[in-house]
Amino acid sequence: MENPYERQQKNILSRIIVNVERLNQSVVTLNQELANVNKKNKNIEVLGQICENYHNSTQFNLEATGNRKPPF
Amino acid sequence: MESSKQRQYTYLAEQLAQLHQNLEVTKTEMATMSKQCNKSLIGQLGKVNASWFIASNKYLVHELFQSEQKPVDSQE
Repeated sequence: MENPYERQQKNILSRIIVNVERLNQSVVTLNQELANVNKKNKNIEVLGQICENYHNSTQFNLEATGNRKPPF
Repeated sequence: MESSKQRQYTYLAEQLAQLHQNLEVTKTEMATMSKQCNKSLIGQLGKVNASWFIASNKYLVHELFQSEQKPVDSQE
């Protein structure tokens, strides 16, 4: 028996396929942008590590020389 | 009719598999970005710089208070 809604179902299915393709393309673009952001953030990561190392070495230096004062 | 529908379903399955893969990549990138923000930006740069600002403000206020007190003491 022929399905009376055959044509409608085909249309809906092809619309779904087109939308999923568009969604895929958008997600690929999103991934590329996220990868760019992460690449540019690597310098900030290094800077954060430098900052923390400086803080740790100043604390160590102050404690070693006995110049560390208690907080107000 | 049936074969074209079958082809459409096969194509849709391929697209959804690709979508799943792309979303896995998105998840990884988001995890990296979140780790970078929490560990580096806030945990290292944010904490150290904020503590420098607050500590220098406290110290300078303390110094100012002491210097204001000294003229008062010397006047007495």
